[in-house]
Amino acid sequence: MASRLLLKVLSKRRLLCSCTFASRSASTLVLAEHEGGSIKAQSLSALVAANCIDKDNSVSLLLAGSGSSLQAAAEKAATCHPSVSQVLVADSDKFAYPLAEPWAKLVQLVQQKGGYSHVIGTSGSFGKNILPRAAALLDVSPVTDVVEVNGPHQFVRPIYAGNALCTVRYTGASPCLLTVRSTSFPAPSFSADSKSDGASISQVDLSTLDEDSIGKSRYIKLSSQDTELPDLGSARIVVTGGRGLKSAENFTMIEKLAEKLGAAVGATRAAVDAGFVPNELQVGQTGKIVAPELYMAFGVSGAIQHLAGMKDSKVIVAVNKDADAPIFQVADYGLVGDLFEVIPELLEKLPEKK
Amino acid sequence: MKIMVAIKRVVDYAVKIRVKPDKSGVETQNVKMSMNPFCEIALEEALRIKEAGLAKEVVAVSMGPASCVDTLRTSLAMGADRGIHVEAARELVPLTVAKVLKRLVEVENPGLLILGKQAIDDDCNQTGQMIAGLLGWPQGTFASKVVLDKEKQVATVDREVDGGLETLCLDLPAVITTDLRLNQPRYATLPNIMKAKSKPIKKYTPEELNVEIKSDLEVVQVTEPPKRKAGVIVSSVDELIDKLKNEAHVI
Repeated sequence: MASRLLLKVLSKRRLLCSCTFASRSASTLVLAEHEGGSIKAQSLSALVAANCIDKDNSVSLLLAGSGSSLQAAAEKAATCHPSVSQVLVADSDKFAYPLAEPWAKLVQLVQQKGGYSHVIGTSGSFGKNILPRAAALLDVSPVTDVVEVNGPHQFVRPIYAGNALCTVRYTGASPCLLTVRSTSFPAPSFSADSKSDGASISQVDLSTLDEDSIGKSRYIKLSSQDTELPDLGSARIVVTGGRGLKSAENFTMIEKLAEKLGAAVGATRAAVDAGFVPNELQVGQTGKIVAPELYMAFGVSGAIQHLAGMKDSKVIVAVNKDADAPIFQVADYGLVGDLFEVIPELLEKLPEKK
Repeated sequence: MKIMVAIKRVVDYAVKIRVKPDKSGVETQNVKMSMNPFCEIALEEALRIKEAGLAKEVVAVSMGPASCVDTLRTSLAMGADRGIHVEAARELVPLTVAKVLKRLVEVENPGLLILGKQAIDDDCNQTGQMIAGLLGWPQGTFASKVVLDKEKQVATVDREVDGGLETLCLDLPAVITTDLRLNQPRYATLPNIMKAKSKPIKKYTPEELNVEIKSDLEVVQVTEPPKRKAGVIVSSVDELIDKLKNEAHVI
């Protein structure tokens, strides 16, 4: 099973790194997120993308935060991927929360000292919030939401809700700033390389950090749903409910099905707007982009903006009462029927998750 | 306080776009154009803040060819007080838009700059963050709720992030970019459309604002995404489970 996954990842990487050419070796700064003493899985995609830019890419991983969980994350980061040659740690209360203002200044500072050819983050809400601000400070145009690397300065990104793909070439000065879609650069799970010593860890000297604009924003709180279910962005199976569920109470059927399959729960914009579920479950052009092995959509019509968030899923299943619903045009398996009958039947007949 | 809102004219969200056969871009001739939905939300928020007595004036800005003026007229019809059109022959990259906005901010001195979080054509989601960086202003991106405190001169912003809803407190002046659930924009009523005809739209060129139009990004080509192969309609739950298990091997 593991080797099949590795093969899939490797063949996908060949597809993504379509251009081979001789180039000056890249040096890349990767902005990584961490939580509870570990690097977030999605951040590893930036490392995969760095490898696509140049397989000999020397990568410095930048972590910021404060306290012991930061240092623990740094230790893990040092052995998380063979291309990481250095871990840079910015330890300060200023980075206790992922605020754009101090983070952008940090990226500017580290770039000015390190002179990297590329700076990469993943295009989740962290990267999207911070990277463009950092790009403006460095007076460069960033390339955001990259799905394919064609060369050190040529990238493919979706436009018009993914209904077109735009190949752009960056013609400016270093650094080339990117955010990459983590679903397009899946990170294989590496076990810590016990043979190597891992990357060096060094503390970023923050004494010259430009204080201007820091302190004008304050983090108050994060409200999030407590759930045992897998993370939507990285789950192998996603079960999504749309407006067809009709109420928040009915949405528990989706949750039950997700539980049975070991899946994450997703939702359409309509379901979130109607208050059935919180915003972090929204899949779509302006919500989360997912590409699981299996995506099951119940009571989802299939608006363009929703498809933008899930059409790269390997297998798509759609259940809808309306045979003309656009979702059936992207579904691999479509079932025209009443979800209020289909879901209970699935719950009864599905095999227990492995 | 003055609020400045940046708006963009884009292909209407409901249009099924076509990629040009020469791969140079997306077909926009004879296609319905509208105000970017996120920009509508930005403008609506500015209008509500003004109606709550927390701002005196709402100025709408748009950059591009003459057709931008149509979108500015719509914004005036919705309730903006003045429009600014920065004339540019071709599409400007977000960095240039941010630089032009910076110059306009220096001229107009708004206390709040509100933009849509992304344009639905290029889906960049960059301009708000960039202008905030250039101005050194705090940013509240992907806002789903904005509450202004005029006395304390702060904005409390709820943001939609991957983990849920994040609440930030920003000192004014600040940049806010709007997410879908911030508000439901109003329709321009016919009397307001008529009134809008006499509201002023000031024109600038980038040269007048001392901004060089240059781009460090080149479009190589625009292509269609790979098509999924056609699927099948199954007739029962049993058949579905069977296919998922034995054909697709996903369960």
